[in-house]
Order: sequence, then structure tokens, then C-alpha cells
Amino acid sequence: MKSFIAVALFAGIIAMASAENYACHTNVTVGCTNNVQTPVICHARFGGIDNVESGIQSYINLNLHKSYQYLLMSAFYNSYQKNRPGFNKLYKSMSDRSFDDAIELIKHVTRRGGQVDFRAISQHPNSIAQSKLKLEEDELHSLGIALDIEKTLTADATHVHYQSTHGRPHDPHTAHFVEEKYLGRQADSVRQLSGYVNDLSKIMNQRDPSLGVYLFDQYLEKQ
Amino acid sequence: MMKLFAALLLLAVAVNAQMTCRLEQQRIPTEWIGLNDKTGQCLEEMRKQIQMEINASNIYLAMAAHFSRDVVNRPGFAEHFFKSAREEREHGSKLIEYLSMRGQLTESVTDLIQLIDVDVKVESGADALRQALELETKVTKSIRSLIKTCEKSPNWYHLVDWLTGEFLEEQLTGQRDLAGKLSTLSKMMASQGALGEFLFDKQL
Repeated sequence: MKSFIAVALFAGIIAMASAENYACHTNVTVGCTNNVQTPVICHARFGGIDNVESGIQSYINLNLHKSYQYLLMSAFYNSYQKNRPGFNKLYKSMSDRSFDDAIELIKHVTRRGGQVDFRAISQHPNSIAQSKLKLEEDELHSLGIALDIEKTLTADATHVHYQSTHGRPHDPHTAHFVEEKYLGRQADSVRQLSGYVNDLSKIMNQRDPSLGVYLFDQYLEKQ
Repeated sequence: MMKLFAALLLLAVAVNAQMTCRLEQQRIPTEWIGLNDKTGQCLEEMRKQIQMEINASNIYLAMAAHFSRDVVNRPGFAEHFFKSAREEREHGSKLIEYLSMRGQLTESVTDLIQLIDVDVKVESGADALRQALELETKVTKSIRSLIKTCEKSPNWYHLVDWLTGEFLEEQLTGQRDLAGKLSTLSKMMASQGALGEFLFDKQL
């Protein structure tokens, strides 16, 4: 029994030793003994960053893309013919949020030793997200578009979370980051918009809904 | 007779229950917009300027991402360029709001902004400042030519004044700021390159 414990302990020590990584130390040692010309470079990459980097990249792309779509939607409702300050405010705030998200994600991935490629910033694997929506829509349609966008964003956040929990090795730091920053808030956002769509759709279910839409816009402005 | 009445009633209910999504477009006079811009050149260039500001925003984001990297590690530069990216986006947004104020953008907003790929290669902090200064110079030139176009008949007096007062003002102070930073950094790096850039980054 004792010998078994000793063996187990020994195996444990070996496992710990193999998990430890001397790459940077070795780099520095090699660099200093050989008088190399270029400075020694060490990396911050650890855990499952390899598994989540591409997912975060595409989530950044999607956020920028959607941020500008929302910006244009808000602009459309700011025109004198639409003149809906509530819708304008709603979409502008969502545009700002997605832009901030993109910056937060850049900070996250670079904090982990990753990088962001802007040479393909317009690309996104989700072709539906890439397809160009016509944004000059009436109020109810635009809320529907917004709900779809929020679901697309949520799906991407979920994808990054999946990569971080199912990849080998895991990346709990990214999983935690996505949970804390995005998943809860996205669920709220999806729920809020679906509520808006259903409310407005009920209000509009009559021959002349113009006053109803006006009141709904006033309501949005106060949110 | 009774049946017909019932049918009519049913029809009335059906019509009443129909969803009406598109509100009828109201006739609003357009004389107040007062822009007999037949060539549409000024508007066209305004739209291009918006896209240019958004592209600049993306270029600054790419620079900020570069300086955020572990192997580059220049948090001061990164924050500086994140801030620039926000400012450029804000410029685009302000130009859009201006067009709305002048009775534009009642249609065709979808094509106003495209997300365009940018290829940014940055050698060093000084190189980034140099590129940023070049970019700002380009933007300033573009605003000047926009002003020139919008001064032609019909003269968009207010837009020209606004562009000159708000946009050129910010461009000029921004350019001076970048040139000053580049000058200081270059001097700091004259003999102690790496140390100079390290110290400068912490002051940014």
C-alpha cells in the first residue's frame, strides 16, 4: 500500500513537472548565452486560447457589422419623415453597445496573447449575418430585424462559450468572460425585443394604428 | 338578407382585424429643405465622407489591437488608438445626424456604410503615429474638398460653416497633437530606441 502511494505520488510529481513549462526561461537562457541579435520574445498564450481565438475573431467581426447596421437603422428613424425619437434612441444604444463589445473582445483576446485580424473584418462565417438586409423598414419590421440580430449575436457568444468549454484544453477564463459579459445581457436583450415586437404587433392589429405607433415610440423614448 | 348582413359583418370584422404595418406616408412640404442640388454632388461627397470616417475608425481599431498584443505591449498607444477609433465613429455618426437634420436620409440608408477590410502594418510606435498623421491629413484634405463642393451653387452655407467650424477645427488640433507626439517620441528614441518608446508609452 505504501509503495502504491509512493508510486502515485511520484506519478503526480512527474505529471506536475510535465505540466510546468519552461519555454520562456529556456528562451531567455538561449538568448543570453548565444548573444542573439534580436530580443527574446515570450508569449502570454495558455489554456485553450488556440480553440477560442477564431470564434472571438468572428464575434468581433459580427459586432462591428451589426453596430453599423444598428447605426443606420437609428439614422433612418431620425429622418423627418419617420421622426421616431424612441426607435432612434433604441437602435443607437444598441449600435454603441456592439461597438463597445467589439473593443472589449479585442482587449480580451489580446490579454490572452491572441491577435485580431482586420484584413478580413467584413467576413463572417454565418452567411445570413452577412447578407445585406434592407434597413428602410417600418417600425414593426425593424423590431423584428433587431430581434433577429440579437439572436445572431447571442448564437455567436454561445459558440465562443462552447469552444471554450468543449475544446481541449478548456478555456475557463474565456467561458467566464463570455458568461459574465454577454450571455445574461443577450438573453435580456432578446427577451426585451420579443416583448416589443409582440406588444407593437398587438397595437397595430387594427385599421389605423398610427396613434398606437406614436404612443409606442413615446414609450421607447422613456426607456 | 340576414345572411348577407352576417357576411358583411364578418367581412367588416376581418378588415378591422387586418394588420396594417405600413403607415401611410404623409405629405410634408419639402420647400424647407431648399436644396436645389440637381447634381447631387455635395450629398454624394457627404456620403463618401461618412464612409471615410468609418474606415478611419477601423484602421485605428486595428492599430489599437496591434498595440494590445503581448509581444508589442504598448497599453498607452493601445488606449490612444481605441479612443481615436471611437472619435472617428462619432464623426461618422455626427455627419449622419447632420444629414437627417437637413431633411435627408428619408430613404437609401442601407448603403451608407460598408464594413471594409483594412490591412494595417505597424512597425513601431513612431510608425503608427506617422501613419495616423498621414491618415488625418488625408481626411482633412477630403473635408476641404467636400467644403469646396458644397460651396458651389447652391451654396450649403450652414453645412460649409459647420464643417469648417467643427470638423476642420478638430482635424487641425488633432494633426498638431499627432505631429507633436511624433516629434517628442522621435527625439526620445534618437539614441535609446526601446527605452524611449517604453517611457513614451507610459506617458500617453
